[in-house]
Amino acid sequence: MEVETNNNNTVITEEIQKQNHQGTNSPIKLKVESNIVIVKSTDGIPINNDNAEKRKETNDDNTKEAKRLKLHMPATEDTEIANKVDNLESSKLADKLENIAKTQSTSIATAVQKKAPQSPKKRLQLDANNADSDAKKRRKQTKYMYGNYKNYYGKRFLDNVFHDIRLDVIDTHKELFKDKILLDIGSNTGHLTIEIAKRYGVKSLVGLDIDRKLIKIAQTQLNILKQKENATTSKRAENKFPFNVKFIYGNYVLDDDVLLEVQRPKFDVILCLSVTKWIHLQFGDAGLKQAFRRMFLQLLPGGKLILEPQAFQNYKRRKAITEQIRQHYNAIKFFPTEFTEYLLSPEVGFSKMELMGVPKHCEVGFTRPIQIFHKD
Amino acid sequence: MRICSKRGTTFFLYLVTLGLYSRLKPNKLLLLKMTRINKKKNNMHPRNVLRTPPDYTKLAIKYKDFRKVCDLNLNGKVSVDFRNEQALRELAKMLLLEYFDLKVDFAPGSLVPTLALRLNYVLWLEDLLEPLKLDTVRGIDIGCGSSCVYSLLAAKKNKWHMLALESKEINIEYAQKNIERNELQSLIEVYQQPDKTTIFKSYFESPNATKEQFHFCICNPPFFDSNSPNPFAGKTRNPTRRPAPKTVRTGSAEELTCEGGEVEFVKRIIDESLLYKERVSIFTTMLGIKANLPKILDYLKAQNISNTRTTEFYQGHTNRWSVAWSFQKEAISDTSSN
Repeated sequence: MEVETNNNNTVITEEIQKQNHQGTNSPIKLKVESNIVIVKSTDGIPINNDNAEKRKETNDDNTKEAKRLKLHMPATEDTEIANKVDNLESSKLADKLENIAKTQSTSIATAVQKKAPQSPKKRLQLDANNADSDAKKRRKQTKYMYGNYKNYYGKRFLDNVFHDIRLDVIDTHKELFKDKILLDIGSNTGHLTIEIAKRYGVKSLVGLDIDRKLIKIAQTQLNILKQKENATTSKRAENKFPFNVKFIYGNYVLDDDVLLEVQRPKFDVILCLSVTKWIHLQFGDAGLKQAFRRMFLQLLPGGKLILEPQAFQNYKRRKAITEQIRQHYNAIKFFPTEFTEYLLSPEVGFSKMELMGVPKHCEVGFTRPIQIFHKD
Repeated sequence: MRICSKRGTTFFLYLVTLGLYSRLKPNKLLLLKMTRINKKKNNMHPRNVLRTPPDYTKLAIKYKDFRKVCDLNLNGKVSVDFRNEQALRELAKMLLLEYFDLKVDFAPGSLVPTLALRLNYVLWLEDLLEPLKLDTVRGIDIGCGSSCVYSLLAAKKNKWHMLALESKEINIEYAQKNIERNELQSLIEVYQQPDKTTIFKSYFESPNATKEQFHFCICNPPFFDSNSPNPFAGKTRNPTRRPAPKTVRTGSAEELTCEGGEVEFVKRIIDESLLYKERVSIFTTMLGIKANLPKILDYLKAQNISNTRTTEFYQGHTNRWSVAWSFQKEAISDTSSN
């Protein structure tokens, strides 16, 4: 449902009002303050000129996240916008309003009335000069300062139709994963990790993430899958999916470079998808270089590193989340264009770089090349 | 759930009442069963610096040699494989260096000391000697080994004068080098035991022996009996189910076993102590096997030695016991075990 919001004060859209009137001659005049915000403006022009820049960004975010999942589902079921407005709820809300109009039930109306929160846009306007909201916004941003977005893969849980756009590219090189020991750096909620383990018949897969909560979610999801398995199947004894997947919480970047001496090779394939930007911003050039070296040391002979680095222009938006990130951003001298060269240099020691592919049919910002680095 | 003690009974009753009157889910009740209420957690000596476990990650960053034997976990933390002898060796060296600034080396194949236990023993001795209010303390280290760890700790930490008795040549070499490396020659003297069957005799009857009074003796006897068919087999009811030890066993056969095991060895110390009652104020020894403790106490009683004291050393998974006896009334005040 496409809805519009006008400046500040109008809350209910005209469309909904029309519907109410069409339904019955209900005397109920609902003054529901909805949290419905523009998804796609009908003519593409941002409504509110004051926050035009911000509004554009949030729009872009939403469409980006949605399109990465390659699902052309109706707008009502898309993933969360950055300012945490849920369209699913909004569509449900609209449905509820229809029902109310039809059934004339006042109690539900009041319930809905109580539930619906204030329009965030209105709040932004009101608190424009209030430092409180600024701090709140900053706190919200720092919440995701590791790129540890909670609904990165969408709100679906154990959905059979989960499909990340990158799987299309990885499908072309299926043989890389068969019967291999894998590591996924930055596994987030584990959706993609579990999907890879399921599809490609891996020997074992470890997912690492810096955020404890995300690991907990991933582990919960895994436990549900494990419980679904019939007690009579031998998958647990044979260590097949889902029993060969494990999630660990920790920081891939080590406390000190000397600890690299202790690193022994353990994995056949390491996946590092869309993580380099965060390591780069959080731990600087030195941290990223150390992470690359660690990846090389952790690979067994004949191992592969599957890398999907973000381009430098992607760093700009996140450069000011925390003071530390800003300092690292300003001090960057090791740019993403130099990654390949560094990885192939004797300092790290990969022997060959092969381009796996570039995901298509998704938003421009996500068409990042996926590279394979070979270790002898 | 077995009720094996009075404490257990009270716990069981608590559990029953809990079950009756609470609305705990079954699995939560199980969890409660698994954690004993009122369980006395046995800890190391209060002054033991290893009471808080060391941060191996930081220590690995600091010490290069130690780093070689560590493993790096995925989350960046360092762990030590205690089942590897080389790792135990480097770990012991590193801990002595880190906490006491002692540079120690061990003879290959010889017993690697576990620092927590050694510290517990030395600290207990400090507590025993404290009421005597001595200016200079002299002690005898029976069987110091290649590490000479008791003497080194005592001398470095408390400036006690130590006499280290040792029979094995190679151990004496290494012990001497360790003492010189740490510049404690003025405090520690190594004496080569010509006769393995005697303890103090050879020294006290040698012409160069000092006439000074010794205040204590400290000893790690060989725990196991070389006469038995399988010396290192512990007494278990179900050997297949007993888990393997957490650390690998280090030490040569000479250091770990003797005829008759620790019981015979300690009996020899007791016999000789009767000959040299005035030379040493407090005789102490460690015991590795719990069942031997009452045997030794019985033997002491049979020799009419009434002034005794026992204690237990807790180091996580390992417990050891110690006995002290004295012929001087004021030395050990009460016979209760601490």
